[in-house]
Amino acid sequence: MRFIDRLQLIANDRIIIAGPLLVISLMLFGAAWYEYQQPRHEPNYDQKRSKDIAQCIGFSKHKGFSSKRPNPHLLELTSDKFDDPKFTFSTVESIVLGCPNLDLKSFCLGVKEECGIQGVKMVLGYEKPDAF
Amino acid sequence: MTDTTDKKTSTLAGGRAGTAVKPKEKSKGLFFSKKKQKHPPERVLLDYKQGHEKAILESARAEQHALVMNLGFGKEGVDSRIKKVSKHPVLEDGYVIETQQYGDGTSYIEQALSAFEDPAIRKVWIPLKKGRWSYIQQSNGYLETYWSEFPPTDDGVILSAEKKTVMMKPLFIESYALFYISIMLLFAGGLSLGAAMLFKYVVYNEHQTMVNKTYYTASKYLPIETLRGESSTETERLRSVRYSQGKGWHFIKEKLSDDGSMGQFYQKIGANGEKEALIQMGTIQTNNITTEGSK
Repeated sequence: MRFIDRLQLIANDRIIIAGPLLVISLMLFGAAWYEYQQPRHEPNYDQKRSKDIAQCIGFSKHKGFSSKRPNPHLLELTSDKFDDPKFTFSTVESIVLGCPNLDLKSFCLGVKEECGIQGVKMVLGYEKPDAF
Repeated sequence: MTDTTDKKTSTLAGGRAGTAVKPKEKSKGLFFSKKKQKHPPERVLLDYKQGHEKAILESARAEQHALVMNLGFGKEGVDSRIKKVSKHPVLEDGYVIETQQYGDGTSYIEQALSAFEDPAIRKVWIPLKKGRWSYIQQSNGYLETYWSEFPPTDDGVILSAEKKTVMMKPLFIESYALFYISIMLLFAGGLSLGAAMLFKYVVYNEHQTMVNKTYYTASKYLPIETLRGESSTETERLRSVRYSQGKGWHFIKEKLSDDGSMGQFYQKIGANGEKEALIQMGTIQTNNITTEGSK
Protein backbone atom coordinates (compact mmCIF):
# COMPACT_ATOMS: atom_id res chain seq x y z
CA MET A 1 0.00 0.00 0.00
CA ARG A 2 1.45 3.35 -1.01
CA PHE A 3 2.10 6.12 1.50
CA ILE A 4 -0.72 8.29 0.17
CA ASP A 5 -3.16 5.39 0.55
CA ARG A 6 -1.99 4.68 4.07
CA LEU A 7 -2.68 8.30 4.90
CA GLN A 8 -6.34 7.69 4.09
CA LEU A 9 -6.53 5.40 7.11
CA ILE A 10 -5.82 8.41 9.34
CA ALA A 11 -7.87 10.81 7.25
CA ASN A 12 -10.41 11.51 9.96
CA ASP A 13 -7.73 11.93 12.62
CA ARG A 14 -5.38 14.15 10.65
CA ILE A 15 -6.27 17.32 12.58
CA ILE A 16 -6.02 15.48 15.92
CA ILE A 17 -2.57 14.22 14.92
CA ALA A 18 -1.46 17.58 13.52
CA GLY A 19 -2.29 19.45 16.76
CA PRO A 20 0.21 17.68 19.05
CA LEU A 21 2.81 17.69 16.26
CA LEU A 22 2.49 21.47 16.00
CA VAL A 23 2.81 21.84 19.78
CA ILE A 24 5.92 19.62 19.83
CA SER A 25 7.34 21.63 16.92
CA LEU A 26 6.85 24.87 18.83
CA MET A 27 8.56 23.37 21.87
CA LEU A 28 11.49 22.26 19.72
CA PHE A 29 11.80 25.74 18.18
CA GLY A 30 11.61 27.25 21.68
CA ALA A 31 14.35 24.94 22.96
CA ALA A 32 16.50 25.74 19.90
CA TRP A 33 16.00 29.46 20.47
CA TYR A 34 17.00 29.06 24.12
CA GLU A 35 20.17 27.19 23.12
CA TYR A 36 21.07 29.84 20.54
CA GLN A 37 20.54 32.57 23.10
CA GLN A 38 22.93 30.95 25.56
CA PRO A 39 25.70 29.51 23.43
CA ARG A 40 28.12 29.02 26.33
CA HIS A 41 27.84 26.14 28.77
CA GLU A 42 26.84 26.86 32.32
CA PRO A 43 29.94 26.85 34.54
CA ASN A 44 30.55 24.35 37.30
CA TYR A 45 29.41 26.36 40.30
CA ASP A 46 30.07 23.59 42.81
CA GLN A 47 33.67 23.35 41.77
CA LYS A 48 34.07 27.12 41.94
CA ARG A 49 32.48 27.26 45.40
CA SER A 50 34.78 24.56 46.75
CA LYS A 51 37.77 26.37 45.29
CA ASP A 52 36.77 29.79 46.68
CA ILE A 53 36.00 28.46 50.14
CA ALA A 54 39.24 26.46 50.26
CA GLN A 55 41.16 29.60 49.31
CA CYS A 56 39.35 31.59 52.00
CA ILE A 57 40.06 28.94 54.62
CA GLY A 58 43.74 29.01 53.68
CA PHE A 59 43.89 32.80 53.89
CA SER A 60 42.02 33.04 57.19
CA LYS A 61 44.25 30.35 58.67
CA HIS A 62 47.22 32.47 57.65
CA LYS A 63 45.60 35.33 59.57
CA GLY A 64 45.16 33.20 62.67
CA PHE A 65 41.54 32.09 62.34
CA SER A 66 40.10 28.63 62.75
CA SER A 67 37.44 27.54 60.33
CA LYS A 68 34.34 25.37 60.37
CA ARG A 69 31.70 24.69 57.69
CA PRO A 70 28.22 24.31 59.19
CA ASN A 71 26.95 23.60 55.67
CA PRO A 72 28.47 23.72 52.17
CA HIS A 73 27.47 27.37 51.71
CA LEU A 74 28.61 28.75 55.06
CA LEU A 75 32.03 29.30 56.57
CA GLU A 76 32.44 30.04 60.26
CA LEU A 77 35.73 31.65 61.29
CA THR A 78 36.80 32.07 64.91
CA SER A 79 39.79 33.47 66.72
CA ASP A 80 40.46 33.87 70.43
CA LYS A 81 43.15 36.49 69.92
CA PHE A 82 41.59 39.56 71.43
CA ASP A 83 44.48 41.74 72.43
CA ASP A 84 43.98 44.69 70.09
CA PRO A 85 40.47 45.21 68.69
CA LYS A 86 41.66 47.66 66.06
CA PHE A 87 44.27 45.26 64.79
CA THR A 88 41.67 42.49 64.84
CA PHE A 89 39.31 44.68 62.81
CA SER A 90 41.95 45.22 60.15
CA THR A 91 42.58 41.50 60.01
CA VAL A 92 38.86 40.81 59.67
CA GLU A 93 38.59 43.42 56.93
CA SER A 94 41.44 41.80 55.02
CA ILE A 95 39.71 38.41 55.25
CA VAL A 96 36.40 39.81 54.03
CA LEU A 97 38.18 41.46 51.13
CA GLY A 98 40.39 38.46 50.45
CA CYS A 99 37.50 36.01 50.16
CA PRO A 100 35.69 36.65 46.87
CA ASN A 101 32.04 35.58 46.55
CA LEU A 102 31.73 35.29 50.34
CA ASP A 103 29.44 37.69 52.09
CA LEU A 104 29.63 38.66 55.76
CA LYS A 105 26.50 37.28 57.39
CA SER A 106 27.27 37.88 61.05
CA PHE A 107 30.09 39.12 63.20
CA CYS A 108 30.72 39.19 66.92
CA LEU A 109 33.73 40.54 68.74
CA GLY A 110 33.44 40.37 72.49
CA VAL A 111 33.04 38.32 75.60
CA LYS A 112 32.08 34.67 75.69
CA GLU A 113 28.57 35.35 77.03
CA GLU A 114 27.82 37.42 73.93
CA CYS A 115 29.69 35.66 71.14
CA GLY A 116 29.99 32.09 72.38
CA ILE A 117 33.73 32.57 72.31
CA GLN A 118 36.04 35.03 73.98
CA GLY A 119 37.34 36.71 70.83
CA VAL A 120 36.03 36.98 67.28
CA LYS A 121 33.47 34.87 65.54
CA MET A 122 32.12 35.57 62.08
CA VAL A 123 30.07 33.73 59.52
CA LEU A 124 30.56 34.14 55.77
CA GLY A 125 28.01 32.88 53.28
CA TYR A 126 28.82 31.84 49.74
CA GLU A 127 27.02 33.69 46.92
CA LYS A 128 26.99 32.37 43.37
CA PRO A 129 29.17 34.53 41.13
CA ASP A 130 27.81 36.08 37.95
CA ALA A 131 28.57 34.19 34.74
CA PHE A 132 28.57 35.51 31.17
CA MET B 1 -40.72 -7.76 -8.70
CA THR B 2 -42.33 -5.54 -6.13
CA ASP B 3 -41.45 -1.97 -5.39
CA THR B 4 -41.78 -1.80 -1.62
CA THR B 5 -39.53 1.18 -1.17
CA ASP B 6 -42.20 3.55 0.04
CA LYS B 7 -43.26 1.19 2.77
CA LYS B 8 -39.70 0.48 3.94
CA THR B 9 -38.49 4.03 4.01
CA SER B 10 -41.53 5.15 5.88
CA THR B 11 -40.38 3.00 8.78
CA LEU B 12 -37.01 4.70 8.58
CA ALA B 13 -38.60 8.06 9.02
CA GLY B 14 -39.57 6.85 12.48
CA GLY B 15 -36.04 7.49 13.64
CA ARG B 16 -34.05 4.29 13.05
CA ALA B 17 -31.33 6.24 11.34
CA GLY B 18 -29.82 7.79 14.43
CA THR B 19 -27.55 10.23 12.62
CA ALA B 20 -29.98 11.24 9.95
CA VAL B 21 -29.13 14.60 8.53
CA LYS B 22 -31.25 16.41 6.09
CA PRO B 23 -29.12 16.98 3.01
CA LYS B 24 -28.86 20.46 1.61
CA GLU B 25 -31.51 21.03 -0.94
CA LYS B 26 -30.16 24.34 -2.10
CA SER B 27 -26.76 25.91 -2.04
CA LYS B 28 -26.60 29.63 -2.65
CA GLY B 29 -23.99 30.94 -5.02
CA LEU B 30 -22.84 34.53 -5.32
CA PHE B 31 -25.20 35.49 -8.10
CA PHE B 32 -27.65 32.62 -8.25
CA SER B 33 -29.02 29.68 -6.34
CA LYS B 34 -28.71 26.19 -7.65
CA LYS B 35 -30.74 23.28 -6.46
CA LYS B 36 -28.80 20.21 -5.39
CA GLN B 37 -30.77 17.32 -6.75
CA LYS B 38 -30.75 13.77 -5.54
CA HIS B 39 -29.63 11.38 -8.18
CA PRO B 40 -28.39 7.81 -8.43
CA PRO B 41 -24.67 7.19 -8.19
CA GLU B 42 -22.48 5.86 -10.94
CA ARG B 43 -21.33 2.95 -8.79
CA VAL B 44 -22.38 1.61 -5.41
CA LEU B 45 -21.03 -1.14 -3.19
CA LEU B 46 -22.51 -2.51 0.03
CA ASP B 47 -20.48 -4.87 2.17
CA TYR B 48 -20.99 -6.41 5.58
CA LYS B 49 -18.56 -7.47 8.31
CA GLN B 50 -19.72 -9.51 11.25
CA GLY B 51 -18.66 -8.48 14.76
CA HIS B 52 -18.35 -5.22 16.65
CA GLU B 53 -14.69 -5.44 17.58
CA LYS B 54 -12.49 -2.45 16.84
CA ALA B 55 -10.17 -4.62 14.77
CA ILE B 56 -13.08 -5.52 12.48
CA LEU B 57 -13.91 -1.86 11.95
CA GLU B 58 -10.29 -1.06 11.16
CA SER B 59 -10.09 -4.04 8.83
CA ALA B 60 -13.32 -2.95 7.12
CA ARG B 61 -11.90 0.51 6.48
CA ALA B 62 -8.66 -0.88 5.11
CA GLU B 63 -10.50 -3.36 2.89
CA GLN B 64 -12.77 -0.62 1.61
CA HIS B 65 -9.76 1.42 0.49
CA ALA B 66 -8.11 -1.61 -1.08
CA LEU B 67 -11.31 -2.63 -2.87
CA VAL B 68 -11.88 0.84 -4.29
CA MET B 69 -8.32 0.96 -5.58
CA ASN B 70 -8.49 -2.57 -7.00
CA LEU B 71 -11.78 -1.91 -8.79
CA GLY B 72 -10.32 1.19 -10.37
CA PHE B 73 -12.75 3.72 -8.90
CA GLY B 74 -10.06 6.34 -8.68
CA LYS B 75 -10.27 8.85 -5.86
CA GLU B 76 -12.61 11.37 -7.34
CA GLY B 77 -16.19 11.52 -6.11
CA VAL B 78 -15.94 8.44 -3.85
CA ASP B 79 -18.09 8.64 -0.74
CA SER B 80 -18.12 6.22 2.14
CA ARG B 81 -20.15 5.31 5.15
CA ILE B 82 -19.86 2.58 7.77
CA LYS B 83 -22.87 1.85 9.93
CA LYS B 84 -22.93 -0.30 13.02
CA VAL B 85 -25.69 -2.88 12.86
CA SER B 86 -27.25 -4.12 16.07
CA LYS B 87 -30.29 -6.25 16.80
CA HIS B 88 -31.16 -6.73 13.15
CA PRO B 89 -33.64 -9.62 12.66
CA VAL B 90 -31.61 -11.16 9.84
CA LEU B 91 -28.06 -9.87 10.04
CA GLU B 92 -25.81 -10.58 13.01
CA ASP B 93 -24.28 -7.63 14.86
CA GLY B 94 -21.62 -6.08 12.67
CA TYR B 95 -20.86 -3.25 10.28
CA VAL B 96 -22.37 -2.38 6.91
CA ILE B 97 -19.93 -0.60 4.64
CA GLU B 98 -21.21 1.49 1.77
CA THR B 99 -19.15 2.99 -1.04
CA GLN B 100 -20.54 5.19 -3.78
CA GLN B 101 -18.99 7.06 -6.68
CA TYR B 102 -20.43 10.22 -8.22
CA GLY B 103 -23.53 9.99 -6.06
CA ASP B 104 -25.35 12.80 -4.33
CA GLY B 105 -23.59 12.11 -1.01
CA THR B 106 -26.48 10.30 0.68
CA SER B 107 -26.60 6.70 1.84
CA TYR B 108 -28.70 3.66 0.93
CA ILE B 109 -27.83 1.72 4.09
CA GLU B 110 -31.02 2.48 6.02
CA GLN B 111 -33.24 1.50 3.10
CA ALA B 112 -31.29 -1.70 2.50
CA LEU B 113 -31.30 -2.74 6.18
CA SER B 114 -34.96 -1.99 6.44
CA ALA B 115 -35.68 -4.09 3.36
CA PHE B 116 -33.65 -7.03 4.66
CA GLU B 117 -35.59 -7.07 7.92
CA ASP B 118 -38.03 -9.23 6.02
CA PRO B 119 -36.32 -12.64 5.72
CA ALA B 120 -38.20 -13.29 2.51
CA ILE B 121 -36.42 -10.44 0.76
CA ARG B 122 -33.03 -11.62 -0.44
CA LYS B 123 -32.19 -8.94 -2.93
CA VAL B 124 -32.38 -5.15 -3.22
CA TRP B 125 -31.83 -3.21 -6.44
CA ILE B 126 -30.22 0.19 -6.69
CA PRO B 127 -30.55 2.14 -9.94
CA LEU B 128 -27.29 3.58 -11.24
CA LYS B 129 -26.55 6.20 -13.84
CA LYS B 130 -26.72 5.38 -17.54
CA GLY B 131 -29.45 2.78 -17.01
CA ARG B 132 -27.21 0.37 -15.10
CA TRP B 133 -28.19 -1.42 -11.92
CA SER B 134 -26.54 -2.73 -8.81
CA TYR B 135 -28.09 -5.40 -6.64
CA ILE B 136 -27.26 -6.38 -3.10
CA GLN B 137 -27.89 -9.99 -2.27
CA GLN B 138 -28.36 -11.29 1.23
CA SER B 139 -27.39 -14.91 1.67
CA ASN B 140 -26.94 -16.63 5.01
CA GLY B 141 -26.63 -13.34 6.83
CA TYR B 142 -23.99 -11.85 4.50
CA LEU B 143 -24.29 -9.15 1.85
CA GLU B 144 -22.80 -9.28 -1.62
CA THR B 145 -22.94 -6.61 -4.30
CA TYR B 146 -23.29 -7.24 -8.03
CA TRP B 147 -23.51 -4.87 -10.96
CA SER B 148 -25.86 -5.51 -13.81
CA GLU B 149 -26.42 -4.02 -17.24
CA PHE B 150 -29.98 -5.34 -17.20
CA PRO B 151 -33.02 -4.05 -15.33
CA PRO B 152 -34.46 -5.97 -12.35
CA THR B 153 -36.40 -9.05 -13.37
CA ASP B 154 -37.01 -10.89 -10.09
CA ASP B 155 -38.86 -10.00 -6.89
CA GLY B 156 -36.21 -7.85 -5.21
CA VAL B 157 -36.84 -4.41 -3.67
CA ILE B 158 -35.89 -1.30 -5.60
CA LEU B 159 -34.31 1.37 -3.44
CA SER B 160 -35.02 4.97 -4.29
CA ALA B 161 -32.48 7.76 -4.50
CA GLU B 162 -35.16 10.21 -3.39
CA LYS B 163 -35.62 8.43 -0.05
CA LYS B 164 -32.04 8.70 1.10
CA THR B 165 -31.44 10.91 4.11
CA VAL B 166 -28.13 10.18 5.83
CA MET B 167 -25.05 11.94 4.52
CA MET B 168 -21.87 10.07 3.60
CA LYS B 169 -18.31 11.26 3.88
CA PRO B 170 -15.68 11.49 1.18
CA LEU B 171 -13.53 8.35 1.29
CA PHE B 172 -10.38 10.05 0.11
CA ILE B 173 -9.54 13.22 1.91
CA GLU B 174 -7.04 15.27 -0.01
CA SER B 175 -6.79 18.25 2.35
CA TYR B 176 -3.70 17.21 4.23
CA ALA B 177 -2.04 20.63 4.20
CA LEU B 178 -2.10 21.12 7.98
CA PHE B 179 -0.91 17.57 8.55
CA TYR B 180 2.00 17.99 6.13
CA ILE B 181 2.86 21.41 7.57
CA SER B 182 2.91 20.00 11.09
CA ILE B 183 5.26 17.19 10.02
CA MET B 184 7.51 19.64 8.20
CA LEU B 185 7.57 21.95 11.22
CA LEU B 186 8.39 19.00 13.45
CA PHE B 187 11.37 18.14 11.28
CA ALA B 188 12.40 21.79 11.06
CA GLY B 189 12.13 22.15 14.86
CA GLY B 190 14.17 18.99 15.40
CA LEU B 191 16.80 20.20 12.93
CA SER B 192 16.93 23.63 14.59
CA LEU B 193 17.44 22.12 18.01
CA GLY B 194 20.03 19.68 16.66
CA ALA B 195 21.89 22.50 14.95
CA ALA B 196 21.74 24.67 18.08
CA MET B 197 23.12 21.87 20.24
CA LEU B 198 25.78 21.01 17.67
CA PHE B 199 26.87 24.64 17.64
CA LYS B 200 26.81 24.97 21.43
CA TYR B 201 28.44 21.70 22.41
CA VAL B 202 30.71 20.91 19.45
CA VAL B 203 31.54 23.98 17.37
CA TYR B 204 31.62 26.74 20.00
CA ASN B 205 31.99 24.56 23.10
CA GLU B 206 32.91 27.21 25.66
CA HIS B 207 31.98 27.63 29.29
CA GLN B 208 30.63 30.86 30.68
CA THR B 209 33.16 33.07 32.38
CA MET B 210 32.54 33.65 36.07
CA VAL B 211 33.20 37.06 37.57
CA ASN B 212 34.14 37.19 41.24
CA LYS B 213 32.11 39.50 43.40
CA THR B 214 33.10 41.28 46.57
CA TYR B 215 30.31 41.98 49.01
CA TYR B 216 32.24 44.39 51.22
CA THR B 217 30.09 47.43 50.50
CA ALA B 218 29.61 50.69 52.42
CA SER B 219 26.85 49.29 54.62
CA LYS B 220 29.23 46.60 55.83
CA TYR B 221 32.38 48.62 56.41
CA LEU B 222 33.77 47.72 59.82
CA PRO B 223 33.33 50.64 62.24
CA ILE B 224 37.01 50.93 63.09
CA GLU B 225 36.97 54.66 63.79
CA THR B 226 33.88 54.36 65.96
CA LEU B 227 35.51 51.61 67.93
CA ARG B 228 38.61 53.72 68.33
CA GLY B 229 36.52 56.35 70.10
CA GLU B 230 35.14 53.80 72.55
CA SER B 231 36.52 53.60 76.05
CA SER B 232 35.37 51.81 79.17
CA THR B 233 34.55 53.72 82.31
CA GLU B 234 33.59 52.63 85.82
CA THR B 235 29.90 52.83 84.92
CA GLU B 236 29.84 51.85 81.25
CA ARG B 237 31.61 49.02 79.46
CA LEU B 238 31.55 47.56 75.94
CA ARG B 239 30.62 43.89 75.94
CA SER B 240 30.66 43.16 72.21
CA VAL B 241 30.75 44.61 68.72
CA ARG B 242 28.31 42.83 66.49
CA TYR B 243 27.01 42.71 62.98
CA SER B 244 23.99 40.94 61.56
CA GLN B 245 22.33 41.38 58.18
CA GLY B 246 19.10 42.53 59.78
CA LYS B 247 20.46 45.00 62.33
CA GLY B 248 23.76 46.09 60.81
CA TRP B 249 26.66 47.10 63.09
CA HIS B 250 25.86 47.67 66.73
CA PHE B 251 27.42 47.63 70.19
CA ILE B 252 26.21 45.66 73.16
CA LYS B 253 27.09 47.57 76.33
CA GLU B 254 26.57 47.22 80.07
CA LYS B 255 25.93 50.29 82.19
CA LEU B 256 25.61 50.82 85.91
CA SER B 257 22.42 52.63 86.88
CA ASP B 258 21.92 55.00 89.77
CA ASP B 259 20.06 52.33 91.76
CA GLY B 260 23.08 50.05 91.52
CA SER B 261 21.70 47.59 88.98
CA MET B 262 23.63 46.73 85.83
CA GLY B 263 21.69 47.26 82.62
CA GLN B 264 22.36 45.78 79.17
CA PHE B 265 22.06 48.21 76.26
CA TYR B 266 21.97 48.09 72.50
CA GLN B 267 23.54 50.89 70.48
CA LYS B 268 23.23 50.96 66.72
CA ILE B 269 26.06 52.35 64.61
CA GLY B 270 24.86 54.36 61.66
CA ALA B 271 26.15 54.22 58.10
CA ASN B 272 28.55 57.11 58.73
CA GLY B 273 29.87 55.63 61.94
CA GLU B 274 27.81 57.83 64.27
CA LYS B 275 26.43 56.13 67.35
CA GLU B 276 22.71 56.20 68.02
CA ALA B 277 21.07 56.40 71.42
CA LEU B 278 21.37 53.52 73.88
CA ILE B 279 18.36 51.26 74.07
CA GLN B 280 18.00 49.16 77.18
CA MET B 281 17.55 45.49 76.51
CA GLY B 282 17.52 44.07 80.03
CA THR B 283 19.37 43.96 83.33
CA ILE B 284 22.39 42.00 84.42
CA GLN B 285 22.15 40.74 88.00
CA THR B 286 25.42 39.42 89.39
CA ASN B 287 26.34 36.70 86.90
CA ASN B 288 22.87 36.20 85.42
CA ILE B 289 22.12 38.12 82.29
CA THR B 290 18.56 38.93 81.37
CA THR B 291 18.22 40.03 77.77
CA GLU B 292 15.35 40.77 75.46
CA GLY B 293 15.90 40.36 71.76
CA SER B 294 19.62 41.02 71.80
CA LYS B 295 20.56 38.28 69.33
